[in-house]
Amino acid sequence: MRYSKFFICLALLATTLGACNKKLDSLLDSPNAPSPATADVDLSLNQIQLSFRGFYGTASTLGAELSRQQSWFGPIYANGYSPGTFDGLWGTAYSSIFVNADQMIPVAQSQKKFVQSGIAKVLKAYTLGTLVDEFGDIPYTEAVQGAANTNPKIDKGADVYVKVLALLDDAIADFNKTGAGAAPTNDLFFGGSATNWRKAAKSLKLKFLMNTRLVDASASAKIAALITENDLVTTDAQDFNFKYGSNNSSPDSRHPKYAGNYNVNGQVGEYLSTYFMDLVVKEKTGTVSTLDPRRRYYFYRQNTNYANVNETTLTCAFVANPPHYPSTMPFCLVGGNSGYWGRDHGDNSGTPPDGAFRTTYGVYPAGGEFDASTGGVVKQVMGGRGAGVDPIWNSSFTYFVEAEAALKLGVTAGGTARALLSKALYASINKVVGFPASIGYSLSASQQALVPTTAQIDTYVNFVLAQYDAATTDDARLNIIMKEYYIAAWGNGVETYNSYRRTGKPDNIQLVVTTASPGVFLRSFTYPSVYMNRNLNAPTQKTPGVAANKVFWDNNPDNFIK
Amino acid sequence: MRKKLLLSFCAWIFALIAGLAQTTTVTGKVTDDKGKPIEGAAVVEKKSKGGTATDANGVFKLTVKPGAILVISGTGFEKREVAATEAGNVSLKTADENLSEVVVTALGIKREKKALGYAVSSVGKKDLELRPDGDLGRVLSGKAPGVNIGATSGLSGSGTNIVIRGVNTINGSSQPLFVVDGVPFDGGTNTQASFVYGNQTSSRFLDLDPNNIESVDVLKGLSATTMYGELGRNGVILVTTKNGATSKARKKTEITVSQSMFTNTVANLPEYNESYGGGFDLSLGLAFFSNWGAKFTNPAATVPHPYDRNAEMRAAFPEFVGKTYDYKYYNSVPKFFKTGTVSNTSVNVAGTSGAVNYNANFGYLDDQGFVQGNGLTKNTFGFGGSAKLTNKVTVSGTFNYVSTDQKSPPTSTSFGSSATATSVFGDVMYTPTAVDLMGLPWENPLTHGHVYYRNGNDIQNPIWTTYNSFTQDKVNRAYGNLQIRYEVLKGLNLSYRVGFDNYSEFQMYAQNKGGQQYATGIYRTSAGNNNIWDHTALASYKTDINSNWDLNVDAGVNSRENTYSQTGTLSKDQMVYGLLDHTNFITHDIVSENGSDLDYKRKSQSIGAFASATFGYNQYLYLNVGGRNSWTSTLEKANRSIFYPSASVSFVPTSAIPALQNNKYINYLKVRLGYATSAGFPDPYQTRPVLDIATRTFLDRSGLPVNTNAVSNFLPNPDLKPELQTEFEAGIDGKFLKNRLTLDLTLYNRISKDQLLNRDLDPATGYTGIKINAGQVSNKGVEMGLGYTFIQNKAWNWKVDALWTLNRSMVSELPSDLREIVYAGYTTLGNFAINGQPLGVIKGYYWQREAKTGQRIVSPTGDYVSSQEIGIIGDPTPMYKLTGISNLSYKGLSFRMQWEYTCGGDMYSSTTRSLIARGVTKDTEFDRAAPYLLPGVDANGNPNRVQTSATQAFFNNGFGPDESGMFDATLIRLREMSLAYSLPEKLLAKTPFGGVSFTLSGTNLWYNAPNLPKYSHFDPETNGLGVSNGKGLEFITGPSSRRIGASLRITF
Repeated sequence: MRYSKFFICLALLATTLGACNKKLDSLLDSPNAPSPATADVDLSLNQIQLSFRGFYGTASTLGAELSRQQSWFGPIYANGYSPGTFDGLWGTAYSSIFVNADQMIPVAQSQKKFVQSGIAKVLKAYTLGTLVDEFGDIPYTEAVQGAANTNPKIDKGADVYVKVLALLDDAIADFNKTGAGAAPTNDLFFGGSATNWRKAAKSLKLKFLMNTRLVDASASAKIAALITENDLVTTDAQDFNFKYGSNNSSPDSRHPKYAGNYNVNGQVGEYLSTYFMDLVVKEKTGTVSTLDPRRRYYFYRQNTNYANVNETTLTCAFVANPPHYPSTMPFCLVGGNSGYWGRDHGDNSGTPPDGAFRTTYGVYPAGGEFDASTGGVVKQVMGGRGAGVDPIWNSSFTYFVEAEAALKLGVTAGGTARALLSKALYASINKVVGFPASIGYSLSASQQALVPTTAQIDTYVNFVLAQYDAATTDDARLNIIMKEYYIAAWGNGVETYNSYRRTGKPDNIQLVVTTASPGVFLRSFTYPSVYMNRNLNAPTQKTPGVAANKVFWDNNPDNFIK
Repeated sequence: MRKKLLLSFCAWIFALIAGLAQTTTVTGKVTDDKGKPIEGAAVVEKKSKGGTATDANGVFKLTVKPGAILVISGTGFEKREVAATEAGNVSLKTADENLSEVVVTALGIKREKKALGYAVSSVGKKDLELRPDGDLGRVLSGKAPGVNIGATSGLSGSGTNIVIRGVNTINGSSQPLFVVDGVPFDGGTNTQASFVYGNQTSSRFLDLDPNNIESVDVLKGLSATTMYGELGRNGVILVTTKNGATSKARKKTEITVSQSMFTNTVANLPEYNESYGGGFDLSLGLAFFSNWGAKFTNPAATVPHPYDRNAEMRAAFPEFVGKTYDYKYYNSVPKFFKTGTVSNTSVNVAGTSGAVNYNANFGYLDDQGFVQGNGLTKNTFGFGGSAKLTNKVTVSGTFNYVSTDQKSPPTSTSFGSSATATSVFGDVMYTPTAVDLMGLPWENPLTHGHVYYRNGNDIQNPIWTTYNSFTQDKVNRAYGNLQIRYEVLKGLNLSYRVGFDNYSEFQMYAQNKGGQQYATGIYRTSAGNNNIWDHTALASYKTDINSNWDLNVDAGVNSRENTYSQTGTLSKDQMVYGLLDHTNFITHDIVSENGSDLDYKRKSQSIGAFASATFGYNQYLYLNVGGRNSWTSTLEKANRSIFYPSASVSFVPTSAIPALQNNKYINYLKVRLGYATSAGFPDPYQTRPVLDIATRTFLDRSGLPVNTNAVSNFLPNPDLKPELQTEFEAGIDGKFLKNRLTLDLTLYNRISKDQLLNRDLDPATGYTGIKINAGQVSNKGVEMGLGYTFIQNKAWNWKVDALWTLNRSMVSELPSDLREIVYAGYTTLGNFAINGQPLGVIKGYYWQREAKTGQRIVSPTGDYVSSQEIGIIGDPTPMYKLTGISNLSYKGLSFRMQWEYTCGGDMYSSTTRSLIARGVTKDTEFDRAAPYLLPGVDANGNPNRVQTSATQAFFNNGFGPDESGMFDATLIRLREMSLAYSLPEKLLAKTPFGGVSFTLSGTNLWYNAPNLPKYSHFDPETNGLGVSNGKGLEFITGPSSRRIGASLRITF
């Protein structure tokens, strides 16, 4: 009896355990997320678009810092950025844009949603090409394979560029397909216009081909063909811009440069580059002037004078110009009592309490405040309330690149370099001047009074053209074109960083302030730490500031730019 | 001892049954060797097995046959046989404690300690009660070798880390299992946002009241915990509450009331330099973060008043318009901290009524922190009882209810230049010395916004923070169990126990509008409910196989179901200042401030069947074999089941070898050897893919919401299997020199393989992580307890115990395509698992050094050059830890001290780094006018010739790569000291009181970390990562606390 009781118990237990297995099965699926089979093409496209703007924003900021539009702390090129700085860029590109594009494109094709697949291809191509522009050689053929390849090997940048151009051609083919399915639910660039997307795709081809002009003899003919085709971004309405909203939280949909600098009253978070502000407001005339019609749109001054400059708020105003600076080189203050408050290239000194004095982004492209010379600290709700744009490719860029092609490659399908420069300037200025209205920011009467007149715009264009005419060498002419491109590309550090490496212009760019020997300029970024630390097939890390680390299309000398 | 009680109990039952054939009545009295009556001693007639037990006066009455022999036994006494005729007055000798000591092992089974083949550390109520800390984890600190306890900070109610025998799992939890009165008790940490946002979230063992604990047994090795299965793999803290200890018979109803009062102050603050004020390069830069400004003068230099700086401030503070401000030393930081009070009340009632034993208690803790806005209150109620229904059925149960409410200002991570999010300490510790933190208004009277000394107002005034920003954690918890025990036949017991543990946790994070971070206000609430149902059916069989061998068998099944679900809302943009209610906020979201989902559910179940058998040979050799098979719901069917065996041997030479018996020098010796295995299961839902979805990710220009779905970046793995752990342990327990010297030594080697790893992937794979089984972590260690009684006589007793813990870990067998795993902290400054390295080495950016000489390389700007790659910059694991406890008593007076020494271990201290880089402490109070030349070489290896200023040298390089924050964390601490006095029983004899005692005590009374900058006075025992496997990283998490006070306890 003693044992039978025991065995009865055991038998009971065994039965119970059997029933339990079924219950355990039912707890394997997460109750918190749907299955991947429910993925929707339009929702994937939204993910790609939003990730893309993140990628662009980071890439643009880094480029703007190196090309002296925004301040770069430095102080030397070896120490300016840690590899961790680039983790976000890398992660967004591969694990957000590419993986979702690769998943979505075939589904979109099968559902005949060709606009969606085309957009995904354009955004993927831009991202991929930009990765090459910034890092050089990158993983591509073995990338985005998940567990199948946890250590993707690297591809040559030039080979990846071929894929970029092919992807753009694919996208163009998609946009040309008739009988496409329903338009995307959300198109944050063009509102669903396949035509504009096609123009954008072709303009991006122009952009990437232009980058290769130094190393690829066939680029010239390809560029000429593209221009002749006459299907590029050439009007304001065709501008390839990401359009921000003005909602400030949950979700914060404002332009990041607005969100970062207007979020707390009187606390501007970033510094603009002293050099860039000087270039726009002073360089052409030698004194602070109103010549450039864009300056009230580009910059917003919290103080319109230098009354708050003292030894604690702006130390550099009390020291002599660095000995290695030529006398004409902008340093510390822009000049006069203008109030333009920024930072010099490579100034890594501690941050003084000057958040309420710094000059910040104006209405274009961040959706900030129009500078009516009234001063006043930034506020969370101000100006365009953050409804700015990311000017990824503007019609003016097309003209500037065509001008560069005319001058350097002799491709004059779009006109002479001079004529293209003029078109470019008008395109840029008109976009900027018309910008407040385009984002629903109605200027007050006093601001309205300061909107540049047609005559003022003509004056500026003619001033530049006169400079162009006075230039005696192609190099000097190129300098003028690229300098104007540099100014027009405000908000797009990707292009300024590329064109600076490609052409070495503008040629009077500000030197690193902290030392005469800051090392070799960063001709590409070091590899991100997520790549170096997690991928065993990653190459040896670059030595920034010592080796030039040029990307494939950059065959300029190592000490070409500083 | 309990075993003997059980025996006598059985004897008593049999006596009743057999009590029919009596002829004479014997009356007698049983006393101890000092003549004191023994209550509850069993008196059994040898032949008939008839028997009885003595009453409170030691008196028994038994009817026996003439000429009967009585066997008299009592718990803790040696058994004695006497003729019934001589039983008038029987004196029992005290038993040898070494051989009869009973400990609680897994599943509440009581075993003689000598029979155990593994180490169990027991901590009695004496060492737990009336402590200044209401957190059981912290009270246990230093009291058991091999158990490492770390605090997040000194804030009241902040999280506590408990790690036993080292971290064995890279990504899994290393926190031990809490078992309260036999039932698993959730000790988890329900963090709503990562450590970056100020993770001081306490673990839910905070809900236990140390004053209501009878004893704590710490089961450290796998040999001890196999029966608990995978839950016990990190060790088990077995808590017996007073309510759960009701099987003990009481003399009478006993009421104990205790009241403690403590002061709670910040343990130590930096010593600030009194010569220089805020600024850079000796400027009168009051408005700076840094303290590299001008030298103080007498009379003080004046600067424009910091609140007379713009139109907005002038409107708010007309009183400061045109005023000047003295640029001088204000001693601000020490004044920022207050003295908190801790009050702890505890009432316990224990009693017996017929066949029912019961215990009830109530506890109230009010623990106010050393900063405004921090506090913890805890109400505990509990009741437990056991009743013998018939001779064969015993029912027992406990029920406890706790309500815990913890509140604290947020403490997000800070690298010394404002915090990531709001942090009360983020900018306080390095407040420039000329800033009058406590004297300047902190609130804008017009807007309620914060105001502070910087012209951009870009440091959130910490005083404003304490009044306007907080995290709160309110828990209501009920737990308990019900057990029925049925004695099928002699030696065979069946029992069934159902335990439940249910709590609802309401968490809040709030800040009114007007701050620097979350300027428009933030309010996050979440409500979570955790529910555990635990069923255990257990059969225990005990028999004497023959006169030499005895056998104990325990077998059973266990099912545990754990459900957690929570919902939450995050709101931003407060409309009316001061009101924290979601309707008063403009925007709402369902993710926390770090983007993690606030709304989720989790359910898992595990089932186990286990058996264990112990063969005993002549009370000196014991062999135990056991095993458990577990099934989990978190793995696919093929990998769901796992069996883990265990075996251990215990041998007592002092009982086995005649030559060692009654030996002068060796009184007791036991050697033991154990081998066991266990497993670790993953959290639920990691084997199947999901789609990431998000709504309202963006609002386009026309206000239309943009929703998204995305490929999940975390790759699921259907082939996941359990982590496997095996452990060998060997040990010696001994008592020597007339029991004066005690030794408890354990060596262990635990290997955990097939680690469940969160492998980070290069995003170029398209994904950022995957769960895999790979890698091995081994932990080898030594735990030693050594005690010596220096003085032992009628009046005096002085005993010193030393507890020594050493653990060495090693990571190996990470797959060849995997460089390393970063499992805690930041990806570029965190704890790593790397093949051939101890687990948890810290990697970060380091100084570039010249290969040959190791000298740091100085750049052309005069600063050291940082690396481009992260490298190993420290190992946070200390060489060893040593605790010394001295107990000195003289009659009713006792004095206890607990010292702790941690040797080595590296630490990243953001606090220390910031204090030095910002030049606020006396460490940097030197002549700052002199130029500086950093020792080092230039890129070509020539000595550095680039001059720099003191400001630049310390600021730029103090805030250099992560290596600039690494320090050696060697630490000596006076953890506890107490002086207690108990009134002599004689004095109380005629009063209603059974006992009165008075205690003065304190914790964390003194510490010194000799290898940190002298004046930083930083306490390395803080953990910026909260409750996690990470260690040695601190991000201005907050100073530690010192508590001093008194307690009074009265027993009726």
